Amino acid sequence: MTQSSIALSTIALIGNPNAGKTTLFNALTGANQRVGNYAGVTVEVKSGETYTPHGRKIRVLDLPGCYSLRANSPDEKVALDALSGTLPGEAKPDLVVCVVDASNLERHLQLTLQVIELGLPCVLALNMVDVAERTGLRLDPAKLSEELGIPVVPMQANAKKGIVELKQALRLPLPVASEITWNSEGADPEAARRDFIIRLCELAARRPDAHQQTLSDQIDSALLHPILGWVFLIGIFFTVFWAIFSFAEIPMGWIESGQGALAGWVSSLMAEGDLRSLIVDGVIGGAGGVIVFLPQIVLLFLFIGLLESSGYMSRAAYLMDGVMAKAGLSGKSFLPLFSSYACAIPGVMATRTIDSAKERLVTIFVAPWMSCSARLPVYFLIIPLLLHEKEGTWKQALVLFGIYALGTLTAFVVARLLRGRLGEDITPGHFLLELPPYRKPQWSYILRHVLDRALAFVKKAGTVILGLSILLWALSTYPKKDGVDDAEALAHSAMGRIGEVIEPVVKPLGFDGRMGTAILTSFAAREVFVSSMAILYRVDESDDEEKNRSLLRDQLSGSKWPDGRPIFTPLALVSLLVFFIYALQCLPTTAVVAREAGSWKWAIGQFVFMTAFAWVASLLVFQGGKLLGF
Amino acid sequence: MDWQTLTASGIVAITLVIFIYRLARPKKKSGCGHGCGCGKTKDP
Repeated sequence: MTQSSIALSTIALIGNPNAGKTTLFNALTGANQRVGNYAGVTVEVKSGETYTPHGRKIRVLDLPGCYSLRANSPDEKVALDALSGTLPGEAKPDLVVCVVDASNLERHLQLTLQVIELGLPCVLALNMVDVAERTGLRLDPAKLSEELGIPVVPMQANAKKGIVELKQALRLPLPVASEITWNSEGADPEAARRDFIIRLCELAARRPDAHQQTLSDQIDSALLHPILGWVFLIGIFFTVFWAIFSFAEIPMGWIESGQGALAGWVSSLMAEGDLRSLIVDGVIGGAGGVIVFLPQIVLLFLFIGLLESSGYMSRAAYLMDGVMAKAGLSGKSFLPLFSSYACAIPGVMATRTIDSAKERLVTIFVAPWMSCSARLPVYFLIIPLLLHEKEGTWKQALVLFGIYALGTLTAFVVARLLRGRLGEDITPGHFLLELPPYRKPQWSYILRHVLDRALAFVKKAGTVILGLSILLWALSTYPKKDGVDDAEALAHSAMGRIGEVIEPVVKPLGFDGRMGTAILTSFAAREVFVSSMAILYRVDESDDEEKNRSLLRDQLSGSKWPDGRPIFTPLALVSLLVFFIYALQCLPTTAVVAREAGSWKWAIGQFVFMTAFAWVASLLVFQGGKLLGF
Repeated sequence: MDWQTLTASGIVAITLVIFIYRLARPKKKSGCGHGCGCGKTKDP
């Protein structure tokens, strides 16, 4: 093989979705990019650094996964631009590492041939050789290398096997671009590639004569069954929600008792005054009130990580494809919508994998209705109020399941209506779903991902929510009026006056002015609602663990209207839940929607529509419930 | 005004200044902003 002496500075990793590019990128650079055992996790170019065995620094680009270089969708265009050197701020890569799934060479090599046709020097990273061998495939990397004219490195990126060998292939001098041997003049290039790959696989990746049913095939016969599959899908997600409520109870108790002890300690050290009130009511009660929900957030992401890493999520996408079609969307919208359960922002960004501009806009529009993790503290506060703790965690899990189902169902109905209004696409799209084999969970990645999410949650509580809690405390404390009780002092404060103004708007929904004010503050970040409630309903922390654990809930359930009626009736709580399911209370999401949709009109329209929808839905629930005698 | 009120007012004022500064400063062009725990990208 001829070699060149180009000075290597940048290599690009390219491959089909779910070929393991990001796993390889993480192994090469030591980064912690998100990986999952399903397609389309990476939607933008990521960069990092690695070193050759001789210590030379190399820049590594992780490109979005794509099946071809036809640039049908925004993420495929990004990949093509990066390879062509036309991506703003990026030079043309000196070498391309084509990452392929060794167990699926027939399809993955299509892209490799297209990259070679671009005239770029290539190395083939033959990933997941362990999976290929388990299926009985007999690989011949030397023959592959000879036929393709490029170095081939067998590897198992998730176990960091083959990384050293790959780095050896990145040494100077670099391989030069291979000659194209499969294209003859006048022939259809796609057919020529396909014929070449069939011949190549017969030589270098021979399958056993008879198809052997793998363990994944056997599991799929149950999990993808038209009826049993849905039973498993609902059962798995219900179990996850039940486990979140059940397992989180103990660590939540620890956090709450720690907060109570801290508040008691501060109160014993300081005389009564504004600073003590700020620390106890504002900081510990406000920001601390949100931190309590950390165990539930951690558990949710742990279970999501397990489902992603095992390969089950692709099966869920397969089952959902039919439902998506009924909503006027394709399976390509599943991943963005699923990502939105964690946070709408990466979900909206993941719509870049969708070819159809109209489908992309519709997916962006409904993505915030997938209940994101920022809503969880609110749900975890309200659900136990709705169902007393002794009712059992399975009922709480059922309500949480219902909340997720209601948001998702409404999103599908609105998507259907919106898709109908936007009209059909001129060119019909296609959806190719990859069902990767089931794998053992990659614990290191799952735990790092969970840690990332937990730190992000704590950071948010310690910065934005802490700051807002301090400001909310000030608004609910000043201006002061001496010689009055707490309720009068709050009514006299700036927050009390804001509540008075808001109350006529929220009263038809069953909320008082304080709840209206808390909802208003939650437009900055949804979790702030819990802090605001803690501050506005003046929860005094106590070092009595049992008393403290349910103090906020006790305080809320004991709150009354001036005429003595309880505020937090089951109907008002359901109305509040409905409001939080539908309202778009996240300014960063609106900013990302404006960028991704390329229009502030679309983003503002979405914000106004969702807020109005939430108000009307809550109104219907509360007033309808009252008419029915609840 | 006692020392507790003075200190509390100072903390509130500093918090307000930080918020105004954060809102007023030019925004960096970024991916998801990492506010929700999505991956971190090293700058080239």
